[in-house]
Amino acid sequence: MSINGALQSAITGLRISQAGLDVVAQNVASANQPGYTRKVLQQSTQIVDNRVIGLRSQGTVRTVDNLLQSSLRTESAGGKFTNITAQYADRLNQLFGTPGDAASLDAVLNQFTNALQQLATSPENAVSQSQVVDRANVLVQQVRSISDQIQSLRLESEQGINDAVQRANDALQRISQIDQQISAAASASQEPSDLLDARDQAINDLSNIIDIRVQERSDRSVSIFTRSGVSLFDRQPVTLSFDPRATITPQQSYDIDPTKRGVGTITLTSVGGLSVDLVAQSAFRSGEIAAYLNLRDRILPEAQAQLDNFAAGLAEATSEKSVAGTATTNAGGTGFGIDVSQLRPGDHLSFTVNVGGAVRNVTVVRVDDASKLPLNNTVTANPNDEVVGIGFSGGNSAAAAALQTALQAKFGTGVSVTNPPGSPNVLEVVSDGSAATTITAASATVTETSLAGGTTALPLFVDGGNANQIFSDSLDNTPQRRGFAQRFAVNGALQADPAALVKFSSTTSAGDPARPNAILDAITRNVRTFVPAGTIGSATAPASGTLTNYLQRVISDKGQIAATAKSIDSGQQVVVSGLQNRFDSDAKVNTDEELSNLIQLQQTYQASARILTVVRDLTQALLNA
Amino acid sequence: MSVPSISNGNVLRLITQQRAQFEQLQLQLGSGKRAQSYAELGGQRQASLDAHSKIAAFDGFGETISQLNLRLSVVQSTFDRVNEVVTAQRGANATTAFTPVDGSQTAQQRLALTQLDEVIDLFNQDSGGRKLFSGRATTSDASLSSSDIIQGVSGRSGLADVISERNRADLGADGLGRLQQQFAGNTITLSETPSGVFGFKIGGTGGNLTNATIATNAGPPVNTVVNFTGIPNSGDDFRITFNLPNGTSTPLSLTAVNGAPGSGQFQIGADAAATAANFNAALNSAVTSLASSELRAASTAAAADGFFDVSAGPPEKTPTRVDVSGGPAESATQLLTTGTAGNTVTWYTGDTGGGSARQTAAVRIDTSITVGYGIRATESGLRRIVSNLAAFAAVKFDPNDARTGNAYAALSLTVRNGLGDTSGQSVQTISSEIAVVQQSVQSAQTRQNATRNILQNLLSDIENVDKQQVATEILQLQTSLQASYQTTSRLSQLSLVNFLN
Repeated sequence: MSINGALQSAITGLRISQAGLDVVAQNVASANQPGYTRKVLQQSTQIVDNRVIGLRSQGTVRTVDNLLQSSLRTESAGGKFTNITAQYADRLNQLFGTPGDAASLDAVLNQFTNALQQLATSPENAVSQSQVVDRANVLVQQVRSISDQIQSLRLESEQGINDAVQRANDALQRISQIDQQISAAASASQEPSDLLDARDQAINDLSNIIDIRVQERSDRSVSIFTRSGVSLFDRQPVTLSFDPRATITPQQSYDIDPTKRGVGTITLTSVGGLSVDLVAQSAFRSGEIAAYLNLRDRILPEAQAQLDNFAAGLAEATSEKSVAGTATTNAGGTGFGIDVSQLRPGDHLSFTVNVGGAVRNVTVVRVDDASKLPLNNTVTANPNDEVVGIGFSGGNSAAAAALQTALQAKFGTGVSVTNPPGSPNVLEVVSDGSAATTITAASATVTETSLAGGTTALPLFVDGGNANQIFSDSLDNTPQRRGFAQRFAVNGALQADPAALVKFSSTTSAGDPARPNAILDAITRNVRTFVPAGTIGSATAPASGTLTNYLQRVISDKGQIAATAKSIDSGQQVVVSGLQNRFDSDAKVNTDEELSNLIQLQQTYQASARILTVVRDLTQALLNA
Repeated sequence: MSVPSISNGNVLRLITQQRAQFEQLQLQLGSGKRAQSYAELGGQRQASLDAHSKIAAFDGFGETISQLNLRLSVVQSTFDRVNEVVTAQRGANATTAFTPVDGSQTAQQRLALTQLDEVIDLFNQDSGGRKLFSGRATTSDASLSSSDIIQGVSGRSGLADVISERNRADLGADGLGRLQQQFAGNTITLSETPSGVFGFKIGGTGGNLTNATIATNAGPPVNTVVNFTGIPNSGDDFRITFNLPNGTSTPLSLTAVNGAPGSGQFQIGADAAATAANFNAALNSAVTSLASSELRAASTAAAADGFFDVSAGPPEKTPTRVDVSGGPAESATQLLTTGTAGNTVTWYTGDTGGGSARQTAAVRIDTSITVGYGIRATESGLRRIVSNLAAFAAVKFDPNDARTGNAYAALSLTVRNGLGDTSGQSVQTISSEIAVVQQSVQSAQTRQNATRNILQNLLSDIENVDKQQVATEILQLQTSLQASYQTTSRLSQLSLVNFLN
């Protein structure tokens, strides 16, 4: 051990201390920089010939727990998802008003039914009549406005996706640039700590938007996949694109078929130029984009469908009337003849057929649009019927032939359908006279189109956004029910002549309460079955109840969804924040810790300097000796 | 700067949360409401919606009920007044002497006209824009005015014409009530003619005439044959009952006397032939007299009843007229109950639909209770009053006719009995039906008020906050927030930086 050895060691000590000071200074200065992680100086002892001759700096390393970082990213994506969902669910819920407020939707419906009650009490009173029309208008306006706002929430989601996709592309570009630098540095055996921080920051941004999985290679470069397995970055970034729509209506929905798709979709263009529709692949399961997609394509359309059910229920309950079948015999068989002259698209015929002791219900829906055939049994809310769609645009005899084919496919040749030449408006459905198959009941449910049609049914609500057409729940082309809540209106003829609320024929007396009572019953008493929408009703157990009940369920359902989304979100935020704390406790700069390091370094430096002084003194003494 | 444990996101999040909670509580204290949206209501939201809907429905029923209470009490007071009218007229008709005040009508008949006017006025009265006695036609009067009813309108006959036509048809050209009397040998035959519904109908005969046979044959035509084989004893009598057009019947008896016969008597002659001749003359006189009094009164009542019994049906009924298509009224044989609206006024101008009168105004007063309280003035209980008053007011008598006294007395009595008739429907039965409705309405109201209270309590439990509780919570939260702020602020100043020099 020579004096030179001490000098060498002291010099390395000074150097290391300086490097340490550098790191501390950098840590303290960058403490509040987003994404900055604490750096620690890596040092090792230099050993020569089994003797320590000094220290050597090996650059800085980050204090990052990779596993924790990965869970944090997953949970942050979840947190973003629940947060956006909770915000929108709350806004959706707010649309239905404050409990007990006179302007909330349920109160508006109650006001309408009360006006009907007053009209039933004083049918001759012109004020009562116009009051009903006014209240109906308020109800319609309220439902339409809620419907409009649901669609603007969908549009916001669409724009949210657009924005998120752009930010995702930015993040991918940044990752790509930094990743190249990191690979280069790594190949030069440098520890690229700051570049890693910057890349992590970009990956974090991306992980909030899309739920991703990150794999680091040995050369420190990463490849990024969505959790569903689609590669987003592998040396080169893919390009995401989105084709946002400027307006969104209830009729516009996502479809895998691009010709039917009414809303934007996210297309991934790989480095090789291949395009993939990521929405079709259900690539997004969590994160911002998934939240917006879920809102745009599921939660909000479900709310719209529920309102549509309500509006369609209002229109149908007040306008539908039953046409009884008349018993008939034909060629030895018995059955029923039904007048189909008033059957509009969407109206239906009902048959009860007894086949070998088993009772089967058949609902025949008029569908003139051949592309919608054959119909699924779920078209009607009734879970116990078999649905047949028949076109009537080709005339009643063609319809009879089509119906015969459809019924014989179900029941065999024991059933036949004719359109007797003597009565061109009638379809006769008869059995062959054998006991095995009998037709036990038949009727038609048709939509009244006139205000004075002679029955209490009336077209109180019409398809206002669609040239004031009669609403008959037509399935042709775009189903009439879809978005009806946004279009329906009080019949203009009724607004001009509110007395039609009472007068159902030219001879109806001014004080006849029959029609007001019938309308009131249709809304508050008659139990209807509703096609499933969202969480209300299922195909096997459809929601049933009065229209008042249904609206209450819709409002309550929205409240429930908002409350659940909020509670899920606060749970998720606790998880995210817990993980973030744990991550930060390792990775964030703690100034106190850095300052205590600083004191240590200072002491080391002073001590090393002292050694230098001593060596100098010793050398001086030697020289002066 | 570094805040050792404050940089911990949890603490910041908690403070933000507390702050938000603080604002929420302030809002609750200000509005008194627990929730501003259905989401915040929690599991009770369905109960809240349901309660609101029920209370709103009760509000609706409440308005209906208060309208009904008004209408029903108007109806009941109308019935009270109608009953007073009936009582007054019946009292007046107890006097049956014909004392004309203007030559052809008595003070009682003039009273009947006034009473008729009042009843029509009551039926036509308007209760809050609604006519209560017109069935569904709540904007139309129930009845024409009394003068239109009696005198007719512009070429269409009124009650007066209808009565006179019916009287002629019932009395026949010879005034014998469409009967035919024949006398041959010692035999007197009184037989019905083919008069259809008109005139006397022989109901039954009896008597204890010695040396005579009395036989009634079913015919047709129905006839009564009295054959004298000798002379009866004094005091022996012959009795016959005639059925009248209004459904009542009247007896006629002839008693054999030795001296000069009075009314209802015949003189016993020297032999059978003389007695038979006397009997024949007495019977003819008695039947003619009865026709001009009882039959005429009954005919008048029947004419009025047919005139007022109108309905759009089914079956459709227009004012009943004598069918004169085959000849004059005196020889008519049938009535027309349809197709007469063109030549006869229809007094009732209200609801023309069919079905139950009560159901012409049906309204729900509770979720599952519908009451019918409609009334038509053509209901038999009400029509009978109008018909009797109008018949009495319409008839004019000839003060110079010797038979007028009896005729007037008969009509006066018929009207009196008609007004007092309580068989079938009467004002009382309608009134008690309405009273039942009133009862239902009352109990529905009581029930709804009770339920409403329960629901409102429930709602206030669900929706309203206990202000004291909120105030306490605010205080607690304030303390804890202050503590959090203070700790945070102290911790934020605690840094090694401050202690290095």
